[in-house]
Amino acid sequence: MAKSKSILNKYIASYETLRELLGYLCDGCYQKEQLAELADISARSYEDGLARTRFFLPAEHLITHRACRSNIHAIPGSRYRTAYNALALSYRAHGLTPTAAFYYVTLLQLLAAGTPQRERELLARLVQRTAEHPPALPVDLAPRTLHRYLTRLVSLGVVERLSDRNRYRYQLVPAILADLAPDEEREVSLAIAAYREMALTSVPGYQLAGAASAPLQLRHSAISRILADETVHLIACAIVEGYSVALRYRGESITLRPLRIRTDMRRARSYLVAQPLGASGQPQTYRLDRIRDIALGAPLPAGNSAAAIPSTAPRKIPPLVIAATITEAAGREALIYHITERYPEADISEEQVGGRTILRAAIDTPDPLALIPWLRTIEPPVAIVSPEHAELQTRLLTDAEEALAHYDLYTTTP
Amino acid sequence: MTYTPLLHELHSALFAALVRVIHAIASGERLTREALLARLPLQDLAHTEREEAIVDTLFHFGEQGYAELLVSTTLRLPPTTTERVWLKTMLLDPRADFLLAPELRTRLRDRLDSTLALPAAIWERVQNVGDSIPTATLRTVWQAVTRGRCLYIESRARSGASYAQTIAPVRLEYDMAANRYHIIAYLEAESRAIKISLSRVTSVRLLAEPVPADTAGRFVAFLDSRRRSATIRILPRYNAPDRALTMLASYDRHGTYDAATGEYTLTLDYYDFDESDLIGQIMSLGAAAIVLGPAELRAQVIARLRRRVEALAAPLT
Repeated sequence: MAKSKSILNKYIASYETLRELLGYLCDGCYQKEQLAELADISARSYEDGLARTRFFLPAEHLITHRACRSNIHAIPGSRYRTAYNALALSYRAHGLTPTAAFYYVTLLQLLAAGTPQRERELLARLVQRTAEHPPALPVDLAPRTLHRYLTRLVSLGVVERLSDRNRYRYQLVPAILADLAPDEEREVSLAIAAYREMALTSVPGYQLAGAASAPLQLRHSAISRILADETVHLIACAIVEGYSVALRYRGESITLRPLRIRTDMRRARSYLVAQPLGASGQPQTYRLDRIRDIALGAPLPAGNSAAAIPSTAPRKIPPLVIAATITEAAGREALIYHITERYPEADISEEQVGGRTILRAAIDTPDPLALIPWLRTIEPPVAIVSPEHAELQTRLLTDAEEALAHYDLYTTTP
Repeated sequence: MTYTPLLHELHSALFAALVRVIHAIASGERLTREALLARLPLQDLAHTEREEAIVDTLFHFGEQGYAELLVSTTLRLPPTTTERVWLKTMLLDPRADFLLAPELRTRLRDRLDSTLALPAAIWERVQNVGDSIPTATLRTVWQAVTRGRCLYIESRARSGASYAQTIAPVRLEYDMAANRYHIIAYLEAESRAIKISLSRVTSVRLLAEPVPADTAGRFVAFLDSRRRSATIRILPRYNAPDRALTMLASYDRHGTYDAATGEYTLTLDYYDFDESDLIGQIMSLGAAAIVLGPAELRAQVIARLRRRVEALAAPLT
């Protein structure tokens, strides 16, 4: 086949090719040059990636606006209209060669008969069929090639290899969702479409239920979470099988013993919790969106499990005590709700001071500074009253004063 | 659980199109080479060499020019190992109990008897405590929204008062951060949608009465009428831009980045009934976030900042 070099092949072999670019497009703020610099790619690679994105995403999912005499592309992130995440379509970008298409299609068709078959039998049937109905382009019918594609189907799990007196037979795995009544099929399809948004990874759910869309509306769910699915899937396999993972993180190549995935739903961010191989001490966290070029490493020694990691006693920190003046019953209830939905064990008390009702909450936290963003959101506003955390009180006050000062500097938009 | 990438040939757009085409031909449809090519995702109409080669390798074209299958059966693609593991995990996840009838769940679980599920300990979710809603309640609401049926609900307000009403549910809402469920229903008589926390529902019953056919359309029109836009500047203080871009990722938005100053200007589309949520997110960014517009939103944020300064400047002892 004559191959044109003038066109871009929009199909790819690794999701890593698209992931970072799609992440920046979800941010929706960058001009071409800025994005290329951030992603450390050439302008040409940027254009190629954008062309791929256009090819796989429906037009309404890649919007363009003009700013600073440049086009800025953005992928809309709202989940209000539908739980369907169009970024799932980017996981359909794998390439397919004519030979691969021929073997996958014909082998799956031949095996659909249900009877387990040997490689030799499959090859003979393919030879016979192509002789009877020669395709327009001849294909290489060789035992080794057939074996390679059969092995690939086995590794994907769609074909089973059965051992029969040192000879192998092949058959399709049972279709789990076949033979369901139409209403059951619909129920399962909707269940998958809903669960994929609540699950660790959503791509397998999209591969199972396709375009089905559930009447589920998600809040605080970023569509970009799906971009990490390939990474999460590899990590999950590594944990289950007891393998290390090798990856690049902030420019460094490291090998880790993966322990678990941590998803902070409040910050819409996911992490790998892992321990560097050869290091002792507590596990570290690695942001999934910053992990690059992840691959399975070597099997970990037996017994070298997470349970074997020595745990250090958490640093004892006095509880953080916050307090607010309550002026109305609604404010009191809102404050208690705000605190207990995050810290149900908080020790809450009330007292009368000089005719005012003061509500106090003592919170046990290993890292009070990490609470700053949350403390800023509490309404009615709270002060920090535990003397051990006076610095936190100062920081919150300085920050609020600076924020107010900014409103004098930055005028409103027209 | 052998690792194979999620991005693979059998789920490529080209293979999916081939499955559809083969199904059509096996079902008796007659397709010429051109008609067949038109059903494949073509990268570039001027350069279709790859797709043509796939078609010519897979199909025999008879004297009349119609495509014939080398193997005259339709193509069935069973779920991969990764998909079976995912499905088994769903069937064992108590959070998903309400999505399937128990009998159907058990039947599917039996079919996946030899498949392992992902251990629950692999995934640590950091979210608020949220609500503990009985599975039966969630199941009834889910049946109503998936089957398009009305619900009779009894609920209890914060004040303690009880309410009973028949509603036309349009969606179930799940808040990933708060771990809470709400029913979203459209009230025809009042031409507006309401949101009812499932934690406040004391009793729920599925009715035979269908949700009116045009309710979904009216709800979307209602959403459109409540759409607002806000412009926020994010200053490069600590990791605020990074936090803001992640936290505000669930809005439709666009913006600009000033490489010289490191400032971002984001325009977010939101619904006015979510304004308090947006204000909370802006407040969490502290001095790094400045609302540029609209003026009402800006005024609300300034008022909250003033109250915060007052509260912090005169600490309670």
